Amino acid sequence: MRVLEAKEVTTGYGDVEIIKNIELYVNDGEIVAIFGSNGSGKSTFLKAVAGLVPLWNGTLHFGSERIDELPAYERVKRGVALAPEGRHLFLGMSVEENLLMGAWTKRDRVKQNLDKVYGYFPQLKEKRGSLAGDLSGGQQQMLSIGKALMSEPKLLMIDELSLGLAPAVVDSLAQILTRINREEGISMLLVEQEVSLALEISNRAYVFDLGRVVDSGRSDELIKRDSIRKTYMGLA
Amino acid sequence: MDTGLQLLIESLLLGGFYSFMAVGFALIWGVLNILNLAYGSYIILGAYLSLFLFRYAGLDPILSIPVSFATGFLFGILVQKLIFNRAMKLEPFMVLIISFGLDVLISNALNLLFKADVRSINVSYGGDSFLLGEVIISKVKLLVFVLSLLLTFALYLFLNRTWTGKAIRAVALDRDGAMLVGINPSQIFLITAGLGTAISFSSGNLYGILQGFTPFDGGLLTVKVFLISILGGLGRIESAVAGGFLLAFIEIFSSFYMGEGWKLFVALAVMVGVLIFRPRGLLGSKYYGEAQ
Ligand SMILES: Nc1ncnc2c1ncn2[C@@H]1O[C@H](COP(=O)(O)OP(=O)(O)O)[C@@H](O)[C@H]1O
Ligand SMILES: [Mg+2]
Repeated sequence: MRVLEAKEVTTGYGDVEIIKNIELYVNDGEIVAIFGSNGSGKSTFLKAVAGLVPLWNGTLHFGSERIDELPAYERVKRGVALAPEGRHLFLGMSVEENLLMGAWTKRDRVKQNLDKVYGYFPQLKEKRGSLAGDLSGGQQQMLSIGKALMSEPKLLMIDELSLGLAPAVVDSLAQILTRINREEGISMLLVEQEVSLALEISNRAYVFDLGRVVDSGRSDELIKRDSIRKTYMGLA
Repeated sequence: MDTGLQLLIESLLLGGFYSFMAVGFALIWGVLNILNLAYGSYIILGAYLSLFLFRYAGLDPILSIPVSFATGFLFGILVQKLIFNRAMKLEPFMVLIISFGLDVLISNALNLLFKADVRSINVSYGGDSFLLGEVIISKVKLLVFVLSLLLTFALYLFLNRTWTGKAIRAVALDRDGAMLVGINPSQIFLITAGLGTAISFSSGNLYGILQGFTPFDGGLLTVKVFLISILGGLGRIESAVAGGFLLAFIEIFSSFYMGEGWKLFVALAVMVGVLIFRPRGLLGSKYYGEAQ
């Protein structure tokens, strides 16, 4: 069963085409990674799935439903969540208020979900009264993920998990994500510059270049491939 | 009699009203990014509506606040849908021009309907005042002050305690972030436009018992709510309240010590100072508008 299936997805900004004919799917329970050079359209693709950028061509199916015509807020209701590039937290609200806003579409289970998020991220519980804008980078990333979890997603997309964070913080976040994937059965689509990390935590991966998928496959096979190791991991 | 103390009390009483009057303008500006030059005329519309209800239905302006509120809410939503939603798709400058046109339209329509004469709403308790120590306090001003604070506090509770109110703040803080949690920004924009306009109409009821008014008083009121928003800053209610009290103090003290003609000049000078030294206003929210 596929959670997400993108077919021939093409879009851009203004007149400029950024991604073309992207074919990508995520199976139920899978962690899928996307990597590729800067500006190759990874963030644009995630925004297109979330509904922040309209498609020019192609289709998006979520489960059995076609979602590419739905506005962003309708997609959230169905279980699409994005922890976006730049995080887009409500910096002037407290940590807990941010989480509560995350529950906008799931108001009847706020309490359980809040406990769950605090369970995965105890630091957020300690900082629940602080302004989101006053958190450290790692804590903001936790909040971004926690906010997405509050909507009980079936597919959690995270754009640049590791960007600007210390390696130790990234490791612990990665561990928590695999736990969430296992325990909650949430499928994930991760955009990650840190290719070794991306391939370690994912089942499958796609390589983007200049707005197209140029390679894809099982992560444990990609990580052994010379071309990938040379181009994206700086290894011989 | 202690003049300083009397002026201080007058400033406080007026400041409460100014805060409430401006909070709708600041809300619309902060959330929708619309500098609505017709806002002052909305206040005057509310004043005429309350005059009309007073004359023909015998309804006290205080009791007709809910009517003004509801009418303003609907009016705000209608204008947003028919006019501003379209204008917002064009250049930001267009919104300004269109709101100016709306101001001209409203004031001239009022002029046709009611003539340019100064109107006042003469409530029975209008002239009463009492002595507190050595200070004379007008009952009407005190009543307007208390109601203004109560209504402003109600708005504060709404924005901070209800789902819809929080969504309004969320959209103001980060529109994409709001869409990503499932908020429909267009719907929030409509509610905010309705709420801001409801506040302007309601403050018209209070304005109408404080002083006489004509169809063309809206322009000056727009200048005042603009000054208040700049002085206090955008992004939260406390800012409009701070700005409201500050403008009242400036007006009352400068017109007493320097002359009536000076008060706007002094207020503008202070505004320039604030813009230079505290560009976010006295109490502008630290993170407001950073992630747009
Ligand atoms: N909002 C935008 N408006 C115009 N161009 C954009 C916008 N966002 C991204 N781009 C352009 O689209 C291209 C792909 O960007 P992006 O999807 O962010 O790539 P990646 O996430 O892979 O680094 C870049 O050339 C970038 O400059
Ligand atoms: Mg990116």
